[in-house]
Amino acid sequence: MKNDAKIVMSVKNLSKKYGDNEVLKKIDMEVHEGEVISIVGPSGSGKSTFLRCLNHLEHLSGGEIMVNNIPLLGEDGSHANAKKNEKAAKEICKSVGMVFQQFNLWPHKTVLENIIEGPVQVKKENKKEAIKQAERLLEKVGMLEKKNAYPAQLSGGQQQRIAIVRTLAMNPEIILFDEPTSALDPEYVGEVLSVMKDLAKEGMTMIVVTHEMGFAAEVGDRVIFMDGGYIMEDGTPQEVFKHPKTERAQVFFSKILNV
Amino acid sequence: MNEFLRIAQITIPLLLEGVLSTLKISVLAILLALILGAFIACLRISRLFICRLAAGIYIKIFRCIPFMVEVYLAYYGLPMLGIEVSALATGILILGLYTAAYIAVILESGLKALPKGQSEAAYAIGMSKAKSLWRILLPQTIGVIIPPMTGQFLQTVKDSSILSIITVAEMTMMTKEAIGITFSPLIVYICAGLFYWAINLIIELSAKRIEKRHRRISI
Repeated sequence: MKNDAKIVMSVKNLSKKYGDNEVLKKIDMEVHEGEVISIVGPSGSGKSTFLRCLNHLEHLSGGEIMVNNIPLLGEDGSHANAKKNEKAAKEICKSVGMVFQQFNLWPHKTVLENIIEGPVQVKKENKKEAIKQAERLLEKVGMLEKKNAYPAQLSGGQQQRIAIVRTLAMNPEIILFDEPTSALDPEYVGEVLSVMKDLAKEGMTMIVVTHEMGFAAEVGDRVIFMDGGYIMEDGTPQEVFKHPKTERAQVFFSKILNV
Repeated sequence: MNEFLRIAQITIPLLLEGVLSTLKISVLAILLALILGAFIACLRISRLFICRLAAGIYIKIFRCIPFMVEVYLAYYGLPMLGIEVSALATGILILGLYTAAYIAVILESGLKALPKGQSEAAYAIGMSKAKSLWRILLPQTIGVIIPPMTGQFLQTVKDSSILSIITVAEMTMMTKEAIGITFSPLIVYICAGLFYWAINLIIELSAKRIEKRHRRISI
């Protein structure tokens, strides 16, 4: 669909090992600008690890990741690559945001302080400007009145919306979502998904590890099904959900889609 | 009763002099220990094996040798290394080095107790490790480390009494001097005990206040 758009991220032959245990194997993926990709699969399939490799929270063992022409290289047996990656990751993280399952807001800072920390401390933006921008974003997710609250005073859904705003404040080109609704009480899932849907509509490039098949089907341009450290399926939601090619995917989707 | 007054008149001025000296030694040693201890704690959580090893060795050496032995080692060892400093300076230095090992352990455990997601969130916005330590991680450990830190400060004040063995004129040394004049060890020691207790009580109460205020902010 968006295949004519610019490629903003490409993954080639990525592998990840913990000792002898290979959790990611020969992963290839390309991400086009504005694409919304959902990564689904059973737990232990490597989807979170894969996502965390993309901003170097996990060190890749082999292969290569290119983000906006900045490379991350396999680190196993190469101290030089590990050092280079450390530097490259700093740059990559400025344009690639991440939203975590456990929100990971900083509890000693207010909502506003959480949001402006990156722009002011990392991007060296003017503090007043950063606050203005933060307030604009808070308004957008309907949480401006909570700007002076501490994270502990907010519900899970509110915390996750703040975490998304904190990521947006860095003006990222790509946002990685690591099971953003899995730690939420069911009543709060909707409000977080609706913020994510708005982002998708605005053309944000998003890679979302999720169990929300409804979200994947409705807003996702592509669905990637992972199992055992491999990408087994990669296609439109229609293709992957309705006509999976592999048996593993057929079994998985028949279990969760026909309840 | 007159006898008691006479002893007090001699003892208290001497001990007050000692209190000042003990305070000076303790404050300087604690400052040194905080700076050095923070540095060692950073080495302990470093990704480089060699840094972790060096910090580990430091902590093992200073925690596993009795403080009195360390004091003598410094007192006789420093001149051998060509470092000629006063007994007072030697005392402050060794007390600081010794306390730093304990402070490093307290800081390290405080940092390691934080959820990993806290530093990951900082990493994910491209923040440097030093900045994330200073702005994100350390402030969060304060609530947890104040009680053990306070305990360590009390201990340091008490440990400073051992410096009397290398002729540092702190409170315990002054106590001995007062005994030499009055020949009443029990009363003089009671006075000394009260003074140490008073110093540490002040430290403890101030720490409680800081802790309370911090709780209010963070929750």
